[in-house]
Amino acid sequence: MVTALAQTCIHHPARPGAALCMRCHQVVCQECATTWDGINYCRPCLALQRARTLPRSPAWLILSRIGLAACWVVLMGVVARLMAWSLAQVGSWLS
Amino acid sequence: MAVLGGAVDGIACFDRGVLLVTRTPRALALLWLCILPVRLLTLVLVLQVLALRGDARMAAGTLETLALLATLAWPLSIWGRGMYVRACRLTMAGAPPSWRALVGVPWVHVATQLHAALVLEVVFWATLPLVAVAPFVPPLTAVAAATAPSAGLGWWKPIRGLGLPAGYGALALASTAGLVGVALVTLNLYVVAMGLLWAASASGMAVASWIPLLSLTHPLFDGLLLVGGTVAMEPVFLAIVVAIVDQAHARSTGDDLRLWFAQLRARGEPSAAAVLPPSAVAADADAAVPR
Repeated sequence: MVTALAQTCIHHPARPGAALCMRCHQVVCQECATTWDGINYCRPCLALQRARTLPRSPAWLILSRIGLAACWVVLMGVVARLMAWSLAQVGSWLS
Repeated sequence: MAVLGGAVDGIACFDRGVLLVTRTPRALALLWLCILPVRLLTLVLVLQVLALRGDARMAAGTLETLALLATLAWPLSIWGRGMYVRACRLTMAGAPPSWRALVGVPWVHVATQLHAALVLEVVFWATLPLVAVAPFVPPLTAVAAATAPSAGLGWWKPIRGLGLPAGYGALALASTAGLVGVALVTLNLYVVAMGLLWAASASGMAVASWIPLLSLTHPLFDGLLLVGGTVAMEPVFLAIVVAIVDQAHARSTGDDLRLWFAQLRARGEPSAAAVLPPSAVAADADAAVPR
């Protein structure tokens, strides 16, 4: 239950609360609340949400994809070695 | 159709999955072709280990070569699973896939699945000697295939995509049913092999040399039966997992309720209009897309 004290804006105590930020669940005033995709956010949470959805630069994307591909090659080598090792372990238990 | 409640309806997903398998014959054949090489190469590796037993550690080079061959054949099975998941989704949407649609799996989906499945493979083979963890990994590889189109490519997204908060009960049920299915198919294959042997013998063919080969004491025959069982059941299990993942996703996004209201309205039942304001009903009608 929201108390009378919490019904003022968390950033502007003199202003009445007008909305609830759906990320941090704090009461905010009309000026601090922004509706995005039908959901109310306060300014700091909106900034965080925006940072998450900002498109990465092409160079970062290419580097990331090359990194992923290199990771897959290494992991496939690891899988092959692990496969041989674990089956050899099982084989030694069977003897 | 049960749409209310928290958990995914495992029985309904099972029925839906089995129905999907019967409606995707081309994708089924293609999936079998894609998964057979890795299964057979793994079988060769296991047979080698069984033959070596205590000396298996001494022959590490041979085993590693065979393991590397199996690992190189493995991406083909990943592509096959991606193709089959796509075929299931297209069939569920009411558009049976053409050959072109089947082979045109977006590379991002394959790469996303590859990333999650590689991590799971590492976990599987690293924990195989411990026995306790390894059995939980194969169902998750099917989940990786089913969630790849929505998870997104990245370092953590494919792993995070494996989460099915509402679907683990149904997944456990599907895994148990899958295990029973593998046992039944393997048994049926054995009966078929024995039937063929009997028919060949009855028709006067010389089968004496086949009798020791088609015996349960022969590791190659046992392995081939097991490979047959797992290969036959894989599309069924994958289709059930696709149904589970879709229902879990629908529950988390509210799509199932939208569909339910749309069906109520289509049947002329007044309850949907009575519980929703006119604006919400209008917006809901626009948003309701049968899956």
